[in-house]
Amino acid sequence: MRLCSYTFSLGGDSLIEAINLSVKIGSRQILKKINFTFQDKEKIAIVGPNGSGKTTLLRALGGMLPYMGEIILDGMEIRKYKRQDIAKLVSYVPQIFYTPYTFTVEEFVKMGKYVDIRNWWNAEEIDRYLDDVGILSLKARYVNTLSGGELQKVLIARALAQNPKIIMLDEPTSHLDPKAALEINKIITNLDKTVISVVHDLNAAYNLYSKIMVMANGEIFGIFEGKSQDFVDAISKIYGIQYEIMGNRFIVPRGP
Amino acid sequence: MRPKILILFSLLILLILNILTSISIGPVRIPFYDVVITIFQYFTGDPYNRIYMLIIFYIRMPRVLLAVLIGAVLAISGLTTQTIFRNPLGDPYLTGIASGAALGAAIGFLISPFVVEPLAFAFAMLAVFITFVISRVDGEFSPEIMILAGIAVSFFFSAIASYLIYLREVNLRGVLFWLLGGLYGANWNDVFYLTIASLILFPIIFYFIPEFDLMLMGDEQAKSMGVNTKRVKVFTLLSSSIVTSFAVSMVGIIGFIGLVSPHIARKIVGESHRFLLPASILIGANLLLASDTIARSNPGGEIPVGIITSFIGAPLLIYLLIRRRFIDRSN
Repeated sequence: MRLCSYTFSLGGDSLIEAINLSVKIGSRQILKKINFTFQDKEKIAIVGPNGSGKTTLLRALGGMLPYMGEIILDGMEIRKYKRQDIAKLVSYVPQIFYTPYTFTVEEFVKMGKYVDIRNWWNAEEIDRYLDDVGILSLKARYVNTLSGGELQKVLIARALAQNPKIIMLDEPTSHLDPKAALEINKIITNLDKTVISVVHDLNAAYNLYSKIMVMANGEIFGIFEGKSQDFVDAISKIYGIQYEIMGNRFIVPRGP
Repeated sequence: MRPKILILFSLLILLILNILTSISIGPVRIPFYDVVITIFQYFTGDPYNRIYMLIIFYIRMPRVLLAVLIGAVLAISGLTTQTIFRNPLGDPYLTGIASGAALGAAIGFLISPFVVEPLAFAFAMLAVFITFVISRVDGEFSPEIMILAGIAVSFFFSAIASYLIYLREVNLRGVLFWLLGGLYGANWNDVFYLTIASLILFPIIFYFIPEFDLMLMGDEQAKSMGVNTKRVKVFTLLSSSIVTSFAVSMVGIIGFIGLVSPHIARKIVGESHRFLLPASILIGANLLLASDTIARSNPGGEIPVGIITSFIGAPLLIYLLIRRRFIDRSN
């Protein structure tokens, strides 16, 4: 099983590899035997219609779901990892959620340090992560008083505090205004990590990510390079809308 | 950070003053000063006033210390359930302990007064066990299912208990008094056993303080940050259930302390569990001790402490709810 998987990775050390990955929730088959390989420091966007299995894929890669097949993370099947060791490799930024709990931003970001519990109270480091995403000034604010854009930055800072190799984000800009979305996208592109991000914004996927995985009906439709015509064609086919690219932006010339 | 430690410290001072005050109140009023002197003399040599010594050490002290311990137990269990289930209405009896203990006690009263305590404990643990077994889904314990399972188990057990009480009109007053909860039977043995149980089980819950903060974010996020959520749930809920069952088997079902203490603590020290947990414990101990002092110094004779805790606790909770609503509106 391990040997034949190398046919998919064209040499080199892969950081994440999925082999015949299937996920079933109840009686519904969400992911259908998918295979892919991602290298270190790649920026991957996952694009596809609602219900195509994007979020489920992220959760499976984070070891949060039971699955069939194999997921090899940094050379080892993730079922063999301890929960805490997965969290040292992968951190997960969930979709923005409302939290009623009155934690301060500092306390909230500190939660990410759980993976490294011996340095649990190392406050300077927390400041560094807050500074990385530009929210050091919000340190003492309560998380339930933040705006969507601020909360998203706090969530990214918490993911950074885990100091992982891979950061997974679930629709990081979907609920944000254009300015906040721009800021978040800038933070994501500047991360010196492997990024796997579920994206609905086609322009962001096209321009900011090195690889784009297009999903449909629990299967991989194709994996494309960023800024490639193949991606535009694939997207046109998936959504049934004839897209064209003009000045690095997606446009629909004659209407749907 | 400093002020929060000061708050914990002042809650501790308040508890000590509360203990001394409670000891001085009773049919024989012992002046506050004499309470301190007699306790001091007891440990350094021979007490000057032997009658005070007998009243303090053989009658009031075990009851006061048991109230403190039970208050602490109910508060720590209440906070544990509220955190693990992420439900502000969580109380220590959520997993079916109260109804289980009630059934055990009802059966006990039918057989012999001497088996009431052991049977109450055994049936409380049985209810907890059933709730745990039902709510195991895909190798995980789902909070939503566990709450419903707890309710179902509670209703089932109390149905049997009610049937027994209805069928056999034996010692109805005894069962009723037990159900309402009271510390009138307190003795040094109870204090001793509950202290041992607390010393074993409290540290297990304290060990998971960092995990508690993360559990509030939901199972999925807690997992993604590296928490073994199943282990946290099993260890903390089981520890709190055992120690609560133990407490309930001694004094019956005392309501509201476990529900309200964590909420009051949250208002004072915030959400972070390393302050919230000790603060809840201290507040629970203070509240139950004060309630019990009122209950036993009622002029018309002792009334069950469960009545007092609900009488104080309910308005307190209502006040907190109203205040929270106003805060939400102003934001």
